[in-house]
Amino acid sequence: MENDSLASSKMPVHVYSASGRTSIFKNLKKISKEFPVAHALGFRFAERNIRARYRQSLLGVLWALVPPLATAAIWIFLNQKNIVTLNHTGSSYPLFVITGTMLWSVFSTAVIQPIQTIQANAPILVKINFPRESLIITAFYEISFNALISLVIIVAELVIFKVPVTLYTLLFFPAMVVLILLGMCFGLMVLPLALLYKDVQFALPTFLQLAMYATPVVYAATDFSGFSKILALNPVSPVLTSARDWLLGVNLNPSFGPLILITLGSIFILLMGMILQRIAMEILIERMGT
Amino acid sequence: MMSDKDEILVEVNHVSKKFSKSLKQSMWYGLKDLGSAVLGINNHRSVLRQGEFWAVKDLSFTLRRGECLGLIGRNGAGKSTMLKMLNGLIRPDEGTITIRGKTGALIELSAGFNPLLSGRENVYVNGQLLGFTKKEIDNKLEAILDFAEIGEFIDSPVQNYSSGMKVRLGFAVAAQMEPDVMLIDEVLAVGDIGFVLKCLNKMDELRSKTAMIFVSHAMPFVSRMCTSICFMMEDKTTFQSNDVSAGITKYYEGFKNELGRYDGMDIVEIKKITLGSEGCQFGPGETVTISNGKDLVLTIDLYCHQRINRPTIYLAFYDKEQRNFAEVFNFSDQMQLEEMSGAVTFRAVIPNIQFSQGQYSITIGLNEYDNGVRKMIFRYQSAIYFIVDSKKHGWATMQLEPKWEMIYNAIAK
Repeated sequence: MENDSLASSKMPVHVYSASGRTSIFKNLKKISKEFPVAHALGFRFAERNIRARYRQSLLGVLWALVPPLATAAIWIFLNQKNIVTLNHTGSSYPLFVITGTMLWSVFSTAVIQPIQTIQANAPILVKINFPRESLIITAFYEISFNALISLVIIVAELVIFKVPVTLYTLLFFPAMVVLILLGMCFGLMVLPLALLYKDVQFALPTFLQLAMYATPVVYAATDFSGFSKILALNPVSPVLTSARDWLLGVNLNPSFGPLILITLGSIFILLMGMILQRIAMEILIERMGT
Repeated sequence: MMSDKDEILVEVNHVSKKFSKSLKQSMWYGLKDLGSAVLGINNHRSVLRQGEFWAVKDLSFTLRRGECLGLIGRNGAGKSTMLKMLNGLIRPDEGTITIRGKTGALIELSAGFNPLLSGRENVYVNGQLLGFTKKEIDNKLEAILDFAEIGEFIDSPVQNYSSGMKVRLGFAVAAQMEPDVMLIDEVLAVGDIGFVLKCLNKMDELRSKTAMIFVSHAMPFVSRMCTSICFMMEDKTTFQSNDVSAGITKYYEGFKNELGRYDGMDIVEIKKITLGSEGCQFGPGETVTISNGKDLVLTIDLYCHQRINRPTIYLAFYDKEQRNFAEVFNFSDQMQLEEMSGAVTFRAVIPNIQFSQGQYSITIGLNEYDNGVRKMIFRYQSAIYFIVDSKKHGWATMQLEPKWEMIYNAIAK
């Protein structure tokens, strides 16, 4: 009898029941326990997706750069022809706007990617039980990969425009990571709704397009004084603005308070988002069908 | 001390699960459930809301190591829902499921395969999806490639694979699992017979080490694999038994038979076809059940509006898989009928049928010979169905029972 209880105590026991709601703390514990497995799988998925995505294209990864560069080109044109006059200060406008659109594209990818990755993997989600966090990790790696490609443009920019590289330039990188985390926060918050109602996915690109203009991407916050209240409420603007300022070496000492607050906030919301996803997924799988 | 075999690995206790019929409603309920789940509100899961129905209702069973439960039932009986709950993908609305040990599922074999990547690359993705580490896959790669028999195709993109090859590769990866509880859903449907046999052997090997739940519509597999059976019916009642063949008979009986196609001229009318054995005749619409070893009696009432020259009747027997496994062509030899007209009734007695347990149908045809030319009058596909009740449920339709004799036995001397 003792032997048997020893043997069975080694075996994991799963109990599934209707009233099995677990606390946030228990969920966090589970997530951290499964993290190594989830990470390995998530990384493998990301590798698979990235490899497969560009296998059937000639220009490959360069396609990721087209949308932000196109937006930048439009605004450089508008500004040069004085159709829209932006009296921003500091660096040259092309440098300013290319960096801005690149950073915005990193952010908006971070919002959309978790939803896209999970949607694309719905067929296996409803059939196979694997750590649900792995797909979020996949999304993170896919976003980071896109961000790395954007870095190519940013490095080229620094070289071409002869921007001096200082210690502050290095601050750009953590700021970009915060931008990714922040984007993923938004993505994870709407994820359950997006999986239930396709409307969210249809609306999201348009919303992000509009949101770009509510963020100092193609203009500086100083360009419109009346607008500043909205900009102040936008958590993306301080992160994006500081990242760009650090890179281009202007206005090197922003107020760090909001930045730290946003960073901590995103990490907290990201964890909550993972728990939310865990709770939501079994309900969503019921509704997603086969 | 309990032996390994007595370990209860799966305990399903009065489990129910509800679903919604309409998509819009389902989405709305999903949103509400989501809300109450996040807020931790208990939202009366055991009450049906408008438009909802029970997909699984009050199902209970236990399973020990070494046992295999066959979960059978028609489409929509709740088999897949039950598997999803056992797999921990969705939560029951009522009752509890307790699973001890590692769960493995042979469900979507080529899940996670990316068509653009090579077989080898996909093995790694799929393997990790099933819970192997990269190192474990490195070690098992030889065995996987061996089992899959894909040869040099392993480095081609999976989109060039046939569906059979994909399933082979998928099964080969999944076969490396060493779970305590194994869930299997209709995985043997694809693949050639050689591979199917290989899979069955692999599953036999796993069966002794695991508690297995096997979902299939192919009764020969169910009868081969399972030690007990749970037949889930549309009214959400179940038939559970250790007598697998009794469950299979119940399953076959549940089918309303699609009467087949009638091709032919209107010269001859089929008035009635009845089937029975040794005096017990069944009326139309009744399920005809004949015990193995009994005589099969087929009576055909016809009305010929015209004179039929040198008629001949043939019968063809089909099994559930629509295999034509037996024919009757001796009508004209025995009857040697020059002509027939008006009302006629024939009876054929086939003695001592030795069919495997299952459902069968008979196709009836009538030909005439007009100046040496054979002409079809009618062919009635699946004119009548019957069930054979037997303890024997084999791979082959015919289960022969020869008389055995000992001719020589060295030990007996």
